[in-house]
Amino acid sequence: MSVAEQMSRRDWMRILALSKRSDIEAACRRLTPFPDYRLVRGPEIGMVMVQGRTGGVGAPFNLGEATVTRCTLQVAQGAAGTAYVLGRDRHHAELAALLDALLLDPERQPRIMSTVVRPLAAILRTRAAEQARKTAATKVEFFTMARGD
Amino acid sequence: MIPAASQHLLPGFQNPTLDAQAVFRVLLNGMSYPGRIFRVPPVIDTPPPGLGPAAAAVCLTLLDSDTPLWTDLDNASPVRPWLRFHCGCPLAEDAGRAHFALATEAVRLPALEAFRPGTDEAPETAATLILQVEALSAGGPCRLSGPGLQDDRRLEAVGLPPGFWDQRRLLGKAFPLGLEFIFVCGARLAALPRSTRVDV
Repeated sequence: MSVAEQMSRRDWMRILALSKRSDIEAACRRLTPFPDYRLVRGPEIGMVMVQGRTGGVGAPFNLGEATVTRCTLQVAQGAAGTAYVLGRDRHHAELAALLDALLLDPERQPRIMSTVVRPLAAILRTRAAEQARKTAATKVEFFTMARGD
Repeated sequence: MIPAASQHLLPGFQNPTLDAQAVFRVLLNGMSYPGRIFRVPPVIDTPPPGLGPAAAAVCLTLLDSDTPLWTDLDNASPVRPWLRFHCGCPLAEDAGRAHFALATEAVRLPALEAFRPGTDEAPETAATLILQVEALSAGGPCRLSGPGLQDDRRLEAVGLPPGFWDQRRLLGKAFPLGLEFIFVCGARLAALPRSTRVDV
């Protein structure tokens, strides 16, 4: 489990943002009651401009706008947690921000890692593999005759 | 260890759109009636230590990622991360590059010539200075006149740096270049646009 042990804040923020809210809520039922917290900003809905680079290396261009919900909160006697989640689900953003704050606390981190983040990561992996399998089944090979010029 | 920077973040506006509009309306009134003292609506419950409710509300209303801010705050001040988080404004070390200036203690303001007064082609690019003063009252030796003032008005701001009004008068000769001032004290503010003449 060495890869998961080295999980950075960026990694768990990504997992919490990409997971379904229902999956996060299900995983959280195994946790003790959450501490009190205060909302610092949001949860609020806004737009971000998604930028891309042609081939991953070209000059950045604007791909289009995406709806994002963000939330920052402060846990009593604890850290401030932040979440940016695609879509308009305020509860998802708030829950992800709360878990982020708790994960920044070294005493709470191991338990939340094992009961919430790692199971969610496994669900995401399964879902990605399933999607890849379905996509692969529709693969079409194009054969092009090389032109001799 | 919990990262120090992420601790003790205080909230800003409860309702960013409506609160910013309410404060902006007060600022518009302030600029329209130079020297008149207005009460800023109580939109910020817990400003960071060192910032009054009016100063905090004005900062959240006017500053964003396009407005470099010069401030008198030292690096350890909790106001810095608060402004960076809620406004996203870059903090300019060089006063000459700042669009806005915030002096939490007006007496620490550098000479006014350090700030940009705009250019003849674009006088609107001048800096706006938010000065937190010790007391603000109608009265005192400063007599205001000019556009927006039917009769002379008096405004007393306590805690300005020495020579402030002399520098302000010199600046008046550069009109239409100049600086806008917003004096804040507790929950109140008064504005002094560049068009107002001040006789001491």
